[in-house]
Formats: sequence, structure tokens, C-alpha cells
Amino acid sequence: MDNKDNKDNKYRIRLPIWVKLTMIVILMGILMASVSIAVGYSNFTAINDNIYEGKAKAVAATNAVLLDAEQVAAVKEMVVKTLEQIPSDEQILSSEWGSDAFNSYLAHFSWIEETTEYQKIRDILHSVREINDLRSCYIVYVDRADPRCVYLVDASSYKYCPPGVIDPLYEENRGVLDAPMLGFPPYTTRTPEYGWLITAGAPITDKDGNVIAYSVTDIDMNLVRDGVRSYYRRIILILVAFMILLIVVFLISLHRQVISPIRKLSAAALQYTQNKKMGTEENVFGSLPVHRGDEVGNLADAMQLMEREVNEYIRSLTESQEENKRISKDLDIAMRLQMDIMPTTDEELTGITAVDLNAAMSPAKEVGGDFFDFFLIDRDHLAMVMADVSGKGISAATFMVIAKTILRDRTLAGGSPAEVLEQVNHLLCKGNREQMFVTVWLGVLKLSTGRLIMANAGHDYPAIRHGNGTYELYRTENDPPLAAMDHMVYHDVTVELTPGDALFIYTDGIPEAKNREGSRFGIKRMLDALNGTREMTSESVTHIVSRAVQEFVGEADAFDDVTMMSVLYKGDEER
Amino acid sequence: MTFQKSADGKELTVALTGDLDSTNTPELEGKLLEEMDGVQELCFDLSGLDYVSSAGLRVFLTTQKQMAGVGKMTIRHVGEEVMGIFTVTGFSKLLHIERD
Repeated sequence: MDNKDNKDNKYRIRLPIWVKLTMIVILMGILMASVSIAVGYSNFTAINDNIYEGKAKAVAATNAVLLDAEQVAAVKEMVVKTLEQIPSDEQILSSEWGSDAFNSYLAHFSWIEETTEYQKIRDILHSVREINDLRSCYIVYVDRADPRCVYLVDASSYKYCPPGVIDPLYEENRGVLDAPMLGFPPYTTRTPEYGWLITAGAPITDKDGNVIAYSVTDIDMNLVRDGVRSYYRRIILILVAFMILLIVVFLISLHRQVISPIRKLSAAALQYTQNKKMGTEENVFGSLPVHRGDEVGNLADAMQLMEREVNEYIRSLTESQEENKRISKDLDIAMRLQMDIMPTTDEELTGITAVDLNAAMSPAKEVGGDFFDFFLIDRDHLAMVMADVSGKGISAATFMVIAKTILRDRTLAGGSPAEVLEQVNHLLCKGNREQMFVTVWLGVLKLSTGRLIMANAGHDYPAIRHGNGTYELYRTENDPPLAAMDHMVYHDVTVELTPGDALFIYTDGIPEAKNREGSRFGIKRMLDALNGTREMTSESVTHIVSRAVQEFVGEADAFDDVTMMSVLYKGDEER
Repeated sequence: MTFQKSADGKELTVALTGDLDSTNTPELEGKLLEEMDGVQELCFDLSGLDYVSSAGLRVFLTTQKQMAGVGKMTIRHVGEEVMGIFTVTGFSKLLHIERD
């Protein structure tokens, strides 16, 4: 996991929000500028081409009109005559410009440049070219037999073509062969000899209307393009400056409207947790200077509301925690009280030697409904009670206290166990809205004779051992628990105990104790544990049974409410 | 825990299985409360029940008391284990148990 996280972090750059937004704005600016420049450039170029084509056409036409047709015809005749005298294999095309053969070919025509006709035409062309700031103005004728252009007069500022220079007739100009009057409509060429040019040509005619030659104009588009480029450089510079200005304005307003309020909010949130740790009660979001009707303002409002709610929640939580603490303290007290009202041998049976009695109650995790009781009715009668209230918690504990008190009270008032249970049942049935009931085993032992009279209101059967025998359940016909239903009849059962006999009474917590596998401790295990207690004191008996249950249950939570009483009858040895 | 009601809604049979103790008595009580309206004959079928704790006994007792005014409640097909519990707790004398 760690390695993976590190790897991820390496590639994940964490940028502040303002950097991200600025990058987005710059990207958008570049994109928009690029699109607008591209569209503008292509429109601009198309318009530019149109303008320059028109210009080339106009200048060519002007020259055609300005020039004296007779003079042009004269120069043409000179060139044609000269050309005719040169064998065709010595007629070198302009593509071989600069070669010796080309130069010696041109030398045949050099005398023509000295003629008056040539110079007059050249001067006019020169003037027009200069006025119009063009690269080339010249005159060619088209050799129709072998389609080619031959230069007559040239007034170019760059790459001057002397008379006799031969250019091929470009594909786009073949139209003049069929319609000589058409001239050369404007066209663009890119050749290694002349570069990037817009060219247009107009026919020069004699007085009969026959085409003698063509006046041609070249516009150097490289120069034009340089102009356009510098124009766009300027535009881009302005755009960049404008974008920088825009970003600065954007950042300032972003900082004011978003970043700074968010920082204030996060500082307030930190302050809030700090306050909570220190226990300071202070509203940090309420006093924030962030109050606008925008999203950040809404966030601040929401945080303020949340702060109020959380504070309120914490307050009520603290209150209920204190309340819980108080209740749990009360329950602890109740549990202690419950244990405290159980009798002890020292208190109840001082000086009694006829029985060895010990009762034990496991320290329950919560207040429960088990209880036991034993007390002397008179010097010869010992009453013993083992009971289990249905349910747990405060209501069961309260019911238990009532039941225990009434039972003791009624038993002391006299009567057989069955009579006592009938009376107590009647009393407990009154106002028993919770529908609780309590199983009760009540026995009265006459210490001098060992006669045990008992009545059972739905409680677990007692285990009795006679002499050196084993503990056995003493099954009786049980009557219903107390408080279950009024006007029940209970029955006494009499057992004669002799010295050495033993009695064991308990609540269902022992047979029903569950271990982790879900099986129950059961009666058999209880009797086995009891049968291992021969010759032991009653205290050891309860201890051994308790340990057996605990070992069986192990760590399981089910170990609760184990209540038991061991009574060993010794008889009145003194008598 | 299955509930079966007759077409006229007057007879309700509740079949219980496994253990009935404090972990599932609240569920049983809740369902009974929902279903018992208008029921005149309530029958608990305990053929699948292995164990009943005092919390379970309390449900039988309170339910029988509720039924006392409007009809009758019977308990049927009680297994040996559960019958033992009814006997020890004296509930065999409180509840209307129909022996098989």
C-alpha cells in the first residue's frame, strides 16, 4: 500500500487552485488567439492575393496602353530575326541561367539593348515600375509555334532578363494560344529562378488589333508576406500583453472573491477544531468577514449553520453522557444494594450448629432477578428461599426486592410454605402491570428433627443427597410461579432429612449456562460436580459447582446469574 | 417463526422452532401484536421448539391473558424438552396445553 501511494504521489502534482485556473485561462487565451489569428490570416491572405492580382493586372494593362506599339514591333522584329539565326540546339532556356552556354546564347542579343527603341520602352517600363513599387515590368512575345515566351524588354529591379531570354509557357497561360487578346490572367508561381510571384500580362496590339507582345508585371509576394508577418507579430504582441493584463485582473479578482474567503474558512475550520480540543466555546464561523450572495458566501453560511448544529449536538451529547454516567452510577448502587440485602450466615445463623449453610451469587454484570434468603423463624425453624424473577434490569430488581421482603414477612408471620406462597402470590398479583413473575422454592427445616416442608412455585427441582448416596433431583409437582396468576393453589411436600443428608437449591442459571459451542451445562454436570463434594463444607460445595460452571462456559458471555445454596444437615448433635 | 392465518382472520397458528429466549422474544411479541387483531383462536405449534426460557414463558402467559377476553389460546405438539420446562415451572397448570 505504502509503495503504491508513493508512486501515485510522484506523478500527482498538487497545485493550488489559482495556478490551475490561471493555466486554464492561458490555455483558453492561446486557443482563442490561435483560432482567430488563423482565420484572420487566411482571410487576410485571400484578400491580399486579390488586391495584388488586381494591381498586377492594372499595371500590365497600363504599360500595354502607354507603350508605342510600333517601337515594340521593331524590338520584336530584332529579337525574332536574331533568334531565327541561332540553331535550335543553341537556344538555351532560362532554367540554365548563369551557364556558359546560356551566356553565349544571350550575347547574340546584346546589341539590341543599345537601340533607341529598346531604351525608350525600357525607360517607360522603369518609371511605371518605380512609381508602383514593383519588382518587374517587362515585355515578352509568345512563340506560338513552339509555345514559349521570349523576353523583348525588361525593367526589373531584380534578376533582369536581357532580350532573348526564353521561358516556357506555363500551363496556366496556355489560354493565350487560343485567345491572344485574353493576355495572362493573374497567377501565382513559385520557381527557383524567380521565387514566389504574382504575375499578370496584358496584350500590346498594333493599329489593326493584332497582338504583338504582352506587357507583364511581377509582384514579389515574399515582400508582401514579410509585411503580413510583421503585422501579425504586432498583433500577437498586443494579444500577449492583453492576456497578461487579463490574467492579472483575473488573479486579483479570484483572490478577492474565492481564494481569500476559502483560506479564511479553512483557517476558521482549523481554529474550530483547536477550540474544541481546548474546550473553548467560541463561534468562529459566525464572525467571518465572508458574506456575499455567491457560492463561497453560501459555504460560509452553511459552515456557520453546521457550527451551530454541531455545538448544539455536542452540548446535548455531553448532557446525555452525564445523564448516562449518573444512571450507570445509580445502577451500580442498585446492584450493590441488591447484593447487600442477601443474608449472610454470620448475621442469620449465629450459634446454629444443626446445619452448615452457604449461599453464593455470582457477581452479575447487571442488576438481575435472582435472589436467595434464609432466616430463622424461631430457634428451631430455618426458612430457606431460592427465587428467580423473570427478566432483568431495574424493573426485575425492584420486583425482586418487593418479593423478597413480602416472602420473609409472610414466612415469619407463620403458616406452611404452601400457605405462605398462596398469600404472597395474591399480594404480588396486585398491580403487576409489567406482567412479571417469580419462581420461588420455599423450604422450612425443623432443625431438631430434620423434617423439611417445601413448596415450589415453578422453580428448579432441589437436589437432595441422603447419607452416603448421590445427589438426586427431588421431583415434585410444581405449581405456577408467583404473580403469574391470582388465586393459585400451592402444595406442601415433606422430606425427612437425617444428619449427613444434603440439600442443594439453585436457579436456572446453572443448568442453562451455555458454552461457546451453544451447549448447556445441564443437570447432569451439576449433579456430577455435587457428587464430587463428599465430606466437604457447604462453602466448598458452592465453590466447586461455581468453578465447574465457569470452566464449562469458558470465556462465553452467557456466564451470569449463577445463584445457589448448599445446606448440609448435621442434626442437633448436642441434644 | 412462521405465522399462518385463516381466510377469515379468526384463527392464527404460530409455529416456533429452535430456542425461544430473550434474544427472540421481542420479535415474537412484535409480530403477535401485528397479527392478533381480530383473532379468536390462537394456536402455538411447538413441535419444532427445543427450549423456552422464562422470557418465552412470559410471552405465552401475557398472550394467554390477552386472549382470555376475546377467544382462546392453545398450545399444541409440545416436545419432551419443552414439556419438561412447562412442568418444572408450573406453567403446565397455567397454559392450555393439548397433549398429542
